[in-house]
Amino acid sequence: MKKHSIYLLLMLLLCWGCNGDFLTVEETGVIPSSDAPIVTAFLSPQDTVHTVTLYHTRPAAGNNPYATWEQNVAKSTVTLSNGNQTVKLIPDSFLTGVFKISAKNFKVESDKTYYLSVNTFDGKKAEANCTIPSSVVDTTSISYQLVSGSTSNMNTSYLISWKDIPNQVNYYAVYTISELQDLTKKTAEISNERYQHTIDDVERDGQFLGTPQSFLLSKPNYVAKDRLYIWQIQVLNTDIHFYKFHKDYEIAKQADENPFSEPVMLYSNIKGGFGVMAGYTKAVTYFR
Amino acid sequence: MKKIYLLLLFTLCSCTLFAQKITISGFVREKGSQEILPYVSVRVPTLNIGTSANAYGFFSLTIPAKEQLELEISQVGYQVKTIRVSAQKNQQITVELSVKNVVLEEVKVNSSQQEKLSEQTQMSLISLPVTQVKAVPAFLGEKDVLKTLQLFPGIQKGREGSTGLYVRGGGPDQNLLILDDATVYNANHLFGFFSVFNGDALKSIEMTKGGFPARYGGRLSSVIDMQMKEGNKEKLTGEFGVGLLSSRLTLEGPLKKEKASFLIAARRTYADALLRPISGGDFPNMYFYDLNMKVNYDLGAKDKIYLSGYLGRDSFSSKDQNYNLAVKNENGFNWGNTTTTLRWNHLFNEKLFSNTSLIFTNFDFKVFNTEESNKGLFSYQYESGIRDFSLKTDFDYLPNYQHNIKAGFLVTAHRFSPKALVLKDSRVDTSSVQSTIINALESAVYVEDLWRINERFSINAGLRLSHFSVNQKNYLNLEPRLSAAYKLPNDAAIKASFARMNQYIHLLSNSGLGLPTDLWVSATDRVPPQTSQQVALGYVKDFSEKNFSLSIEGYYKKMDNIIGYKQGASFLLLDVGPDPQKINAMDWQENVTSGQGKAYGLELMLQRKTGRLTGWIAYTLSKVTHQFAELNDGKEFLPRYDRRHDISIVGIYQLKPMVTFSATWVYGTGNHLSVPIAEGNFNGLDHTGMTSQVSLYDSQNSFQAAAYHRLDLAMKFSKKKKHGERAWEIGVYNAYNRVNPFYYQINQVYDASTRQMGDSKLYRKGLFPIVPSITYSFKF
Repeated sequence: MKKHSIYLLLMLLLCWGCNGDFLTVEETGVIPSSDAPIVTAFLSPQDTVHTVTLYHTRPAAGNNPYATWEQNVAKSTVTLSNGNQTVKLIPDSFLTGVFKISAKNFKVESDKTYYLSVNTFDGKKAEANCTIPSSVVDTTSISYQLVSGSTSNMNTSYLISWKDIPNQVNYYAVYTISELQDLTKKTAEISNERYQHTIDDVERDGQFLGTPQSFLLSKPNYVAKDRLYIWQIQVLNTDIHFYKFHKDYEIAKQADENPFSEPVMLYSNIKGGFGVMAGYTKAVTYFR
Repeated sequence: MKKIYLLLLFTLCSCTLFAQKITISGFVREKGSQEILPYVSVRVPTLNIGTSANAYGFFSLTIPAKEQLELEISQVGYQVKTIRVSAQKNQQITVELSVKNVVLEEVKVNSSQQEKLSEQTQMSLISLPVTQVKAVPAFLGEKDVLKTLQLFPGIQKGREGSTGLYVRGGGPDQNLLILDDATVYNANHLFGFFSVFNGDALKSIEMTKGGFPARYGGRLSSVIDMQMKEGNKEKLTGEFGVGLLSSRLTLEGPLKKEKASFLIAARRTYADALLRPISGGDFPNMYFYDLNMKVNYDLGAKDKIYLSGYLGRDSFSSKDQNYNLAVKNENGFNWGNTTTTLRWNHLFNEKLFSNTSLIFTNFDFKVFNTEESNKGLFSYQYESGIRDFSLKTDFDYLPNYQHNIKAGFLVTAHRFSPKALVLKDSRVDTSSVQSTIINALESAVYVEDLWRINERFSINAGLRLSHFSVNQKNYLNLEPRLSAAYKLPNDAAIKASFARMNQYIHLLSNSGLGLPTDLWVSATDRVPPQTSQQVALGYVKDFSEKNFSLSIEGYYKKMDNIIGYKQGASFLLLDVGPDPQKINAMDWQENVTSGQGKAYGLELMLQRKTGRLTGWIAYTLSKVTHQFAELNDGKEFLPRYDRRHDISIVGIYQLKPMVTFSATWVYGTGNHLSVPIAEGNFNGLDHTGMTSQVSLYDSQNSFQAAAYHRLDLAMKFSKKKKHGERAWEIGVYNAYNRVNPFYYQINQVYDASTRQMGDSKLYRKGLFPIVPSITYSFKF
């Protein structure tokens, strides 16, 4: 229903005449609008490939630049630098707007600062920097606990916990991946990839931390002999840019569905654009 | 030094001992109906002293004994009466004032009309005669108290058509609306387009927006104190009216000759009744009604009892039936206020008067859904509300004409129920009730003295001690209040005031529409009470010969711990549905943040009080800023209803004795809004490979909407008939069809030549075009 019909009734009552042309006026004065690049870059020493995505805004007023962007984005220049070495990222041949470089060609290390520079095909510039966190979560401290009475079909809810890195302010993200490995073919089928991005250690320094919500992990009743079911749990120690951006982004996605929500000023550390450049370290553990 | 004190004490005692004084006290009533008249001016012109009756019509004047003296009694809309009384001993009298034989009344900007503005101590006070509310043009002809108050300086409206009041930089939650001592929590009918107050049932309307006397508290920005009529004690009278939206009927009359009377006033909309037959029963059930009732009884010369109540409700619901699946469904929501006040006026002696009130008030809101099929019945009901029981006693002590001392206390037991869910499912035979109840106790004691120090200088000094207790958390605050006036030559005066206020309950609302889903919640240990400190300075001048008065006031108000909504917060509970987890996740404390606000401004009002053309020009120049650590990167920003310039021009012209033409024109600079500057696509952030789109903003409320302006016109034709007086009124709302901004929308325009979506454009969407109206009323 039902809530939707009430909601629609409400909107109808409030806007009974709003859509009539006689109650609509185009604003012709100065309209706040932004035509700027959107950049996302997440760097980690544990990644084998470093990726930067470059997109564009759809300005509040004026043209939608999608078609031009799609044709020309690969002509943009995206560089990463550690102060000594500067590398140019290569446009991905399949994914439009994605620029990559192998970790072999550009090493990302803990506690170091990296600089991102973007020059778009249409002359816009964006810059950002971030510092990779110095520590990695102790993988041996990562564990999971069953949430009682939570089984639903093949999926079961678990809370993930790990030990906070002591004596520093930390922000964490957690990913869980259910993986069905084919031992004969040496392939893996990934399912149930889930995440929680914004966990902090406020007033819990050095203690065991847990995910606020549970994760659904797949646990089939039957697995063939040549198959192996594995849960991969990643605990990311992220910088503050990662934390702030994802916190706002998750709220913004929900707010966009509700016209009565307060607006969300999405966090960004990209000068000349929107988005985020953030660093993290990754601790990975597997459970069979 | 001690000698000086002793000398002063001796002098004071001597004065008291040797100057024989007498007290003339009593009540003022309306001739004919015997209705008690509040705030009447009582003066002794020869001695150049005077006083005002209190809210219950009682006055007391202690003066030097004389053979005889003349008392001049006056009130807005009544003929001035001069009576001669013997002044050799204490006397209690009842004075009757006759209604002035004019159609129009004047608006006064102080507690007593006949006293000039320059003779008043109180500032920032609006006394609005009900007749004035009825004279001003109104949307669909529905006369509205709150919308009329929006036409005064320092008071701004919210969205188009809304009854919300934004007073001197405060929000709509910071106004205390009192009807016969009872707080009315949700003053909105029909989503805030009309207020719940029926002008036919009201006797007096007073709004204080600064320089608050100590007897008022509990809100930061204003107090709107309304009193219901008591009912005609002499004969049965009434009035009915028919409008495009609703009809109304008022009846009043004696229950026991000169002892007891009653009043009953009712309103109801009838769109549902008219449209349902035409639409074949599919039309949603939509209506509102309200009912005001009051009875009173004179127990004797010293005691009076009043019982009054208000009952109002809005309801919206719809039914549908799927015959194939044999499913019946009904859903909707409704809300309403109920208030009851039992009042006892007691006169201890000619100098001491008391009023004791026992008050009940309740506001509730419900969303419901029932689904009935051959499998069974499933229903859920979501409720929220607030309920108060209060005991209040006020004393008026008038030892002499120089002092008017008021003191009293108030105790209120609040019961907040921000969320309650009732689930029933006969299919699995379950039924559950989940609710959150918060009890809180609010109390206050106060004392104030209106002290006329000499002919030129007077002050009203007071102190209020307020206390709030919730969940073992206690707040105790001292609230000093001071108003002062100094009379200058040529009917001019300068005035100043200071007031500190505390507000222990908060209204959560981010729709800005006055929806019933707005929640009243208590201050907690995490969300402290809001406080404000306001200073004001004013200058008034009466141009008696030309019937003009000019008032200029400047103010500065600092507000602390005001409520702001965190990014993405929503309190629109219609969205919750029957999911207890979702409801529990909506802890309002997680969605609010506390900050500071500053408001300052200059208000001018030029008013013509009498003559064929009456009205006023009000101009407000103001600025409001907010600062929250968790909003806008902690930087100061302009809230939505910061309005630099606000103008109201109201004119009422009596063309003929029975024909009146009225017009209002309002102008306000545009509101500040947060409008997306772009849409942003983000790839792969949720690791599904999908692109998510979110709105991008630069900073809080950085976009300024178009200015608001509107002209309303009305013409009223009255005629005496055999059994009473009938009146037709035709009106036009938004006469030049201005598209005032209700909201903004970004749309992409389809380019037919390229068959592609082209440029994005920003559109201003209005709500009400030109709207004509016609109403009929008959008074008997």
